[in-house]
Amino acid sequence: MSGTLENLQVRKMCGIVGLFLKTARHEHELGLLASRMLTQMRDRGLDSAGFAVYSGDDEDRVKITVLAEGFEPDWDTTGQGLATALDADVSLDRIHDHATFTTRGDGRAARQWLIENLPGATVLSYGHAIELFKAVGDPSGVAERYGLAGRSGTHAIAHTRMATESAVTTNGSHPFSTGADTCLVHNGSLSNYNRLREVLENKGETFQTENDSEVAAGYLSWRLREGDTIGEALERSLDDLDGFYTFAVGVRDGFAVLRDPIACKPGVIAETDDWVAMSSEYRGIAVLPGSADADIWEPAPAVVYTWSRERS
Amino acid sequence: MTRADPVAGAAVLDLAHADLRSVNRTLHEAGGGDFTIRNPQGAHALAAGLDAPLAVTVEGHVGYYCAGMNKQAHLTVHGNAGPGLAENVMSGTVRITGNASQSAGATGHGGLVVIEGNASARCGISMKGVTIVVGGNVGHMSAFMAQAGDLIVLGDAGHDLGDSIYEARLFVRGSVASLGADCVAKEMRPEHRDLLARTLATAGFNADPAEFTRYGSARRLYNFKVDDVDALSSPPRAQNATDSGGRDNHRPWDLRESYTFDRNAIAEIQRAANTGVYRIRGWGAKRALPTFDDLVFLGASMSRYPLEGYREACATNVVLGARFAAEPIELAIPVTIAGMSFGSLSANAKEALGRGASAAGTSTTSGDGGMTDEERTHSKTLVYQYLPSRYGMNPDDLRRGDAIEVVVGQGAKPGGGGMLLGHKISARVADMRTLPEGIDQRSACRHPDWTGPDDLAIKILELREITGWRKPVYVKVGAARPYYDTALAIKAGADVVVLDGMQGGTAATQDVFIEHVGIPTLAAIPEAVRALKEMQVHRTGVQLIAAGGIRSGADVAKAIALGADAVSIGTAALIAIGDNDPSLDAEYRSRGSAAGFWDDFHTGTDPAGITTQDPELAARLDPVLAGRRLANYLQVLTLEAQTLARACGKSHVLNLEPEDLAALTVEAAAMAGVPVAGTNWIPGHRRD
Repeated sequence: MSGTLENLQVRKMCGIVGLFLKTARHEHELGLLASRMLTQMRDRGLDSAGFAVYSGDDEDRVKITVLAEGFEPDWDTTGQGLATALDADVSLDRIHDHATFTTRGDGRAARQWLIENLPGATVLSYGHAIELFKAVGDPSGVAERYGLAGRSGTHAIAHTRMATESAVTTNGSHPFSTGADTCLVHNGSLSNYNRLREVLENKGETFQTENDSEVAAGYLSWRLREGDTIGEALERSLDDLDGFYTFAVGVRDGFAVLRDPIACKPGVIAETDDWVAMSSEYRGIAVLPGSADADIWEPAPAVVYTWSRERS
Repeated sequence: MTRADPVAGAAVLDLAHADLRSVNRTLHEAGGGDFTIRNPQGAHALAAGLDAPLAVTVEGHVGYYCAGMNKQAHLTVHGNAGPGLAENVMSGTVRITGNASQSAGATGHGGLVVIEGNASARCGISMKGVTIVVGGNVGHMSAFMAQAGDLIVLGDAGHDLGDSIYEARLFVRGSVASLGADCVAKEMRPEHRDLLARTLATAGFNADPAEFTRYGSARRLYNFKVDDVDALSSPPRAQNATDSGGRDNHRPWDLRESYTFDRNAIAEIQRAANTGVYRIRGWGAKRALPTFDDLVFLGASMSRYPLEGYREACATNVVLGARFAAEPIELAIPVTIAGMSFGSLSANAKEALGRGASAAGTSTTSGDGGMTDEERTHSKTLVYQYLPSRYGMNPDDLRRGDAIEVVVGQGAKPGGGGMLLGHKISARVADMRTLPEGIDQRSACRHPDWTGPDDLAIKILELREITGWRKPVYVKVGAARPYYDTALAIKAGADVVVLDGMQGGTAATQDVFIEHVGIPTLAAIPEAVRALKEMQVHRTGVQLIAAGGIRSGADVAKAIALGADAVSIGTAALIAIGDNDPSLDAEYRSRGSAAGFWDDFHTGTDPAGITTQDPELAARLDPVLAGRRLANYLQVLTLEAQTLARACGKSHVLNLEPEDLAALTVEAAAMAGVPVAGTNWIPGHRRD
């Protein structure tokens, strides 16, 4: 079956990392640490990379990150249209081909409006804390381009990808986020995602790519909308998702890791008093302060691991 | 993590200042001595492939495949280890003070592996003689398909312990979450308690053997359970008579055969009802499929001039694997002999293939059973397969081979493992594969210590480190998603991609697998080439070997015209050396088949002496004569391909291109990406 460049069934062969700060001690350098972790994963994928950073959580406003790859929309006009649609003020920040809209309006409605009214662009995330960036290129290049090293925050999830197409597009990159403050990175290969995507679309999820990991993200955002905690949603996913996966998941005030029951894809977790980190390989953890004395273990198959902290 | 006390007089190697290659090279070149390695920081393939009585201390955590294929050396890692610790260890000792990730000690043949902390999933998977001692717990699927050796666990074991176990012995002191298929608790006898006492002492643990429970195989999976209802019916059912050649002879005019339930379908249902077991057979897909016959060459005409035969040369040489390997493979002809195991084939057959291939200036490939001396001696160029089963795998043969072929799958059964039934598990085969004689071999379908191209990349790194980056690495896949599979194989580091279409043969697998999984070779090649071109490695960087139903020089030339660099033959090679010869028709009939139809390779009763381990039958095959027949056939393949290439104006067969072809059917045009003859129409999307 031929694939187009946009709708390739890309197997999730890649490196994933996640860093969740349990205390405030390293918040100022969250981005620096995450970018070090991500760079260590470059041998697992050099084609594209992405990261999500959770910071500046404000109950009164949401941020929506949008990617316009290969074209230049009129962002100001877009912002005005969005403001009208939401009946709320919208401010705009830009970094290269990514734009972040900030508003008091409804984030989900904002996402929907942007998907419908800015064709060719991809809404990467929305939420009170999350901002998400992804691009073509090797992980250290992508991290530098979008200023990961300079960002502070409470937690970060990142991914580097081994893609199958030479003219790599960003759309297949992780993290994927379809729901508020929720994102996912995935190492492995899901096998029932096409049927599941249809089911989730009927439940009101919207997808922007043909990617299997986006379906996993959509599954979680559906379950969270239905009132599950992230732990409950992941428990349920063990029955509903088929295939091989190690997931690292970010939610507004927490972080989760899950491996499928067969557990062929790798994963390492390390924990200190100040942080919890997850990586496809130990090398990604070795670069963190205190890693030499951290508790290091492998996530057991079909066990949901979650961490959360009080919102300050 | 405890810090090591520095070993007095040890040479220090520091990965903060030296790269992995130089550290491993130093270790490989040392004949002995003490070494301390600092700052491993999770490096992969560290100290892999050692073969001398070195003492190596590693200070810190290591990544994948530390001490892979270790021989004689004694390693201690003060830290944790990633997946595949000491995979395929042959001898010596490997000790980890911390925890080990999954597949620790995978497929190990000997030596001692000690993990003071916990081991994760698949500890001792497919083990073949190694002794593994774990101070803590082991994860799920530990000792999966464990063939020989001892796994001693002082803590607990996770789910499915010893699933599909053969003759390895498991001793667990703590609890077992669940036992896998055919694994049961067994009696502890004095010899077991003695073994435990000695091994625990050597490993440095203080534990009472009386507190352990022994687990092992119930041996109920050792042979397929075949019913025989026909034997009970009275009057006895008639045997399915074989027609005297033509299936449609003697059919009355007023009887109509069902197209859907034709006689093959009916016979298969009856066989299934009689036996309760799926049909197992050899050969490849037999049903009608689009083949190269549906393509034709556009020969010379007003605008294209042919080359004269003989004087105007049409070269046929191919170089494979120059991308990373110091010693690429150079072939005189673009036809290789595909992997077929000793075990599925007789030793004489493997020797014949080696002789014929060498005479023709091309390579043979080992198979799912290891390398035999006959084949290595008689094959000038031998590709050594690296399969999920790892039967017979060892670093010496890895280094003796001229290339390494990592097998992800084959065309007959993409997603299936090897299969060899009891009649063919002779003493020699059993010894090579570390299996009990006479059982029905079950093999894994996934590799034991990696899954997916990202981890394959690390495995290929390990194989290169063990062989000093000298040998090309091939990756073989069955044709399923050839565009993605090719691209991913390239990204994982393959120098050569071997693509086996659904017409590819096997010595034994389920008929349903052969006929209903995979896509035709004709459809697979253009997709693989598309990936090679998009990644700008076609012809120059990464080579493509196409396989699956190659019969003639026309097939060779067409595969090359579509973009392959070479082809591989299996079924055709066996026919060339004597399989299905008409002179044996009476013998085939006495076995319920007929010359030209025989595909019961799995029974080991081959009258041609090729797919058998029976010494009398195997002796019928004269390897010298058979080798000559193969050489003749390879010569004809080459001459035919050259004839067609010259007609298209080519001075080298590799200059054939898709534009030299036209298709006779719409399907072939769509699959091959060439126009329907007489038109410029190619159905469906094409993009290059």
